[in-house]
Amino acid sequence: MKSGKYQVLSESEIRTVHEHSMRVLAETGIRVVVKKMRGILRDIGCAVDEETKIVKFPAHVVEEYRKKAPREFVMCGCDPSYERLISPDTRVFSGLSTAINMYDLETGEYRPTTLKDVVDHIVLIDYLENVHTNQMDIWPNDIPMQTIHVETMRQWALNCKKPYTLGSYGVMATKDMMHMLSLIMGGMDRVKTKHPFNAIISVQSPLSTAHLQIEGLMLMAQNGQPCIMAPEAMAGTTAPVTLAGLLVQHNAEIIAHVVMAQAVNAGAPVFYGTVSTIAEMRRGTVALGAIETGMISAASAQMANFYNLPCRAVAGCTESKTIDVQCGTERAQSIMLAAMGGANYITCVGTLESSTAAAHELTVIDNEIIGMVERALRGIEVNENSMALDVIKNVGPDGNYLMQEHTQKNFRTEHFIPKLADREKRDIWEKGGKRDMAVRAREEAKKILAKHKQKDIDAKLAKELDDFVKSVAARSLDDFYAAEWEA
Amino acid sequence: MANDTLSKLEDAIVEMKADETEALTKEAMQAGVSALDILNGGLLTALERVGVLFRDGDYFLPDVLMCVKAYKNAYALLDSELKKGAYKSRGTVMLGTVHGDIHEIGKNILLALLQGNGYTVVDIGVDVQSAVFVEKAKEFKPDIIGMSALLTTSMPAMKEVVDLFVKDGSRDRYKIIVGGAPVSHAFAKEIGADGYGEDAQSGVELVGRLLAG
Ligand code: B12
Repeated sequence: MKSGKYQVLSESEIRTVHEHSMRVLAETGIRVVVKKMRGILRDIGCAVDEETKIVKFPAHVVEEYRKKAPREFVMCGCDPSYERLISPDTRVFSGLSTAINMYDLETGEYRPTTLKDVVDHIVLIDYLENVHTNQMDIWPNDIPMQTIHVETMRQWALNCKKPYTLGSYGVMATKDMMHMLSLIMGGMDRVKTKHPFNAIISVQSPLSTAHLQIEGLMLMAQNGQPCIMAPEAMAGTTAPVTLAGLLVQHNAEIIAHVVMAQAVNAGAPVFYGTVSTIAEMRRGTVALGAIETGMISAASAQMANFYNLPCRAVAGCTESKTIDVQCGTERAQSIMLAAMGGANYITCVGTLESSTAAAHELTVIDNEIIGMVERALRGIEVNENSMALDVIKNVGPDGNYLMQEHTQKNFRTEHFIPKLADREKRDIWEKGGKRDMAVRAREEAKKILAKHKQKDIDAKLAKELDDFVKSVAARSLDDFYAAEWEA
Repeated sequence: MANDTLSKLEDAIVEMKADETEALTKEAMQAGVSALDILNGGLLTALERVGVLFRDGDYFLPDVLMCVKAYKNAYALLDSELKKGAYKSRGTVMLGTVHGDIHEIGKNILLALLQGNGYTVVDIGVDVQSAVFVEKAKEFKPDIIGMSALLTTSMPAMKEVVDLFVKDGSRDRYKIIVGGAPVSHAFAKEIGADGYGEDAQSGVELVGRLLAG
């Protein structure tokens, strides 16, 4: 079984990219917009300019601190028995945040997303076998903005056994997230060795940081919870137009964020993340469905491997606004490249329109695409049983294999059996109403949603969650701003 | 001879030859062509051709921005002359990303294209507090105020800004336009803005239409 890895960089190219990134960090540096963080970086030996907020990272400091990050860690769900190892050798698939419009399951028209869409999405993820975790993949437009983080976490606890992720929205929100986590899991002790919750730390390319994100990074790291360091650099606008140039820059950005987390708390789990893409060169807008996104994800996985870190990569996105051929090819091709490239945590399911819109039928379709990709990556097993010499002899010329026990014993593992792809004869397909894959996926989604029942959670916990959400709702936005740390 | 220089200048801008436009502009000035004639007969005609090439899909954003660079090199030489005469800038546009939002690429692209089309542009940055829009408007007296938002959570700040101008009594002094991925025509209308641009090019056209009255 030869591995089907897709490698875009040679060993020596990985090293050169690394060396160039180290020069960027030491010579140009990164703007770090939270004073406390700059103080910590100064203490570990970085050169800090308080005027410009530029921090330069000497190579020896980077080497020392990046190595403190763990190679692997365990993620679990709200149900702690649901476990997944996160490491450079494993692979999980996730949802992809945060759509603001919904491609409506009933009408096929766009409309603003609601809390119900969030819940339905969480439910789908809970049921779909190839999707292992989710994030706040859908942004609810119908509840007060200051409650979104806690309300979505509550819905996660009520409806899903798998892990969850949110963006990082500053000091108060991150503290709220830790409090919710503690309530849901029964104390922070319970999340010390297994992690049901991640935060995405958006990196401000080129070479900068975002205030709320660094605050989130610091609090997550302090609590020993995993951070996904994720630049969304676009080759041609916020990164060099050349893919190698983008890699040099975004690698520097990611490693700087890894160093920051380790400087706050050595050993805090991190992901080497990427949402980097190319820019659409007519408008300057993002081209998430571009083939180059898959190449960047694959290269990032190679870089992450070089650093002994798990890689989180974006995939499954499309610029298409409808469920058409473009939508299908872009999502399949990028999921394939990210997985074949060796990414370990692939955020991919359920979006269209450059990840600004969500569709439940696409979540179900992506589950099937992942199944196919996993089958491809499993490769061809070659052994006495699979080479089937005896069976070939037995069947002989002009025979057939359908009646063989060997066939019955092996078909389920040897063949990927699609639930949604149509392989019927045309007359059967016509009789069935000429339904295409999107229609079948829509029915599947509805079926799952219809049978779902909210979890039976402890009444005391339900009340605690409810009370906390209410107390957050009672705060004003100014309370959130007031809690922020000095820039 | 002078006409020949002007057409060479026009071509140099269209062909992105930023290092030639300065010399050609000087040549035209020495030949006695007025700054206004150089602007109208070489520079703006070039930008029109660039606009057509962009619309037809022959030119991409980086091409346009290089043309703009070539144009700016020429324009810099004319600026002081033009200000002496009857010429007025095509208008001033003030741009900012609203409070709570740090996305800036869309705003910056619009800024570059507006400059390239001969507008004076003031950039007031990202995460701009609503009241600051009103303050800065008093300071810079723009004809048009453009706001960018990429987050559903920052979109309400756009309405807040419009409302503050109303409250301030100065709403009629400016045209207010909005843009960004989640923003729409309907939203622009709902909050009482004067226009919406789906991308930077339509933003430039929108500014042109609004200033024409
Ligand atoms: C790059 C990016 C970032 C970068 C921004 C870097 C920077 N320097 O600007 C970083 C990584 C920092 C970032 C951070 C976040 N982001 Co972001 N980001 C994006 C991304 C991928 C591309 C945006 C972009 O720059 N596009 C390119 C430009 C050129 O396009 P544009 O802005 O749309 O502009 C064009 C037009 O809209 C128009 N235009 C724009 N402004 C104006 C103004 C006027 C007046 C006119 C006429 C026209 C106009 O012209 C432009 C040119 O054609 C989008 C995804 C997407 N599909 O848009 C998400 C996206 C906008 N981000 C999103 C989110 C959630 C965030 C975070 C909250 C994530 C987090 N972890 O917390 C933070 C927010 C931080 C904050 N407070 O603002 C969500 C928004 C969802 C929502 N709820 O609204 C999106 C949609 C992605 C997603 N699906 O999750 N992000």
